[in-house]
Amino acid sequence: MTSFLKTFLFYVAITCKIFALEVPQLTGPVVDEAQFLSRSAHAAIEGALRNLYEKEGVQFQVLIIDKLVDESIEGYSIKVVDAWKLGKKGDDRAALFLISLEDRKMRIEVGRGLEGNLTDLTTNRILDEVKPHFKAGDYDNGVALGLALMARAEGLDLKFGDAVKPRHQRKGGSASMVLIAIFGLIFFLQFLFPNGRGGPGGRGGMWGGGGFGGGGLGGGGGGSSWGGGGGGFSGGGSSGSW
Amino acid sequence: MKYLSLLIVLLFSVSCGIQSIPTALNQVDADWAEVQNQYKRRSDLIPNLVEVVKGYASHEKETLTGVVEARAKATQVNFTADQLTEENMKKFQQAQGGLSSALSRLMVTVERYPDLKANQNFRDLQAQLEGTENRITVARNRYIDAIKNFNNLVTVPPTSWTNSLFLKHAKKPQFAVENIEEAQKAPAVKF
Repeated sequence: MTSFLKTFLFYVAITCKIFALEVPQLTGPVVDEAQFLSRSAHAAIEGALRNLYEKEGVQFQVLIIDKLVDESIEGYSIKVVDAWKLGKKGDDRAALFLISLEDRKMRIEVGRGLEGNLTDLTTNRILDEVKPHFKAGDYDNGVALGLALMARAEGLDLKFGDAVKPRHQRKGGSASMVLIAIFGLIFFLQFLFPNGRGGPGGRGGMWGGGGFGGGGLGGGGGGSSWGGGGGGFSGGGSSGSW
Repeated sequence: MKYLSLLIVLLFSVSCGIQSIPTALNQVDADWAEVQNQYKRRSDLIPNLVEVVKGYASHEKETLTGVVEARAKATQVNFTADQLTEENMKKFQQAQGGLSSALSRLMVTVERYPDLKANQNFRDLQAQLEGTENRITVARNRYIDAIKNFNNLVTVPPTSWTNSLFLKHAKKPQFAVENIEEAQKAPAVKF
């Protein structure tokens, strides 16, 4: 009897959790549930964010979801950072760039350690700059621009290679260079994280022809896994829509 | 017999609240400090906001005075976490709720002044105010969780036995959010 009751309560506990939108698994610097970014931009941004985290200890995270379920973007955002605990404990230098595609809403959630420079006001202005890109459907550059501006507010430089060029539109002339950089990056990432991002279709999987050696890009650090380190957030940041 | 009593003492000290209740109490203190901190942040923004609005909407005197007065009242009502009786909590919430509703009245008034709404200074202040309101929400939710945790420890056995034997903490009043929501409700716009 008691075991029956226990199982029953267990099921209740499980089903209660299903209603609100779950926090997805933290698989890498860019969690794109909505297939919002192009493959090349996805890879380039991930590379840049990993690099930033390794070099400066500042953890920027991108999360793109289809839509919110019975929740404000602020509520969901704090739920996500509480679950992922981005940034190192006590240092708290982390930020989440959250985008909800169908709601056309976005939010930058700022960790305690970055609040000094990345104020509510600064993030608000950053979102204002991102807005026209999203309106025009230029998601890759919009996301990259947002992240670059966030980094700049901290006095840091975020380099995406040639795959995405925030602020400037892509120029036709250097297309082949761009392609080579993308191939190189993807190859490099795959080499580092053979099991990473094995989502539908295997992001970048079919690109893996070994023609372009990853050698030129070999400077990066070892393949550290991506995860939160117990960073604290207290609701700083700003929301916007497009 | 001696062995048994030793075992009981050991059980108490390890798993039955002698540590977890004070820890929870500290968490309540810290989370309450954060709540106050964020409310203070809001009240620090208000003088600037009032100044900017005054420049464009000087004849909305009543609304502006309402905000200034509500702010003065809200900054006076301050309690440390251990002063938070049911009654003091009510006072605090009333004062802050009064400021919230005065502010939302002001924001409704502002809708009538497109020049003010376009003013960069005002937009900045609005962004900061929105940010602060969100921080307040987060801080309040964390405080509510901390209180819930503490109250569970002092009322639910077995930790409640430790409490009634040694620590003798009383249950803490919970933050009643529904009152605040009501106070924050923007007044209906009539045409």
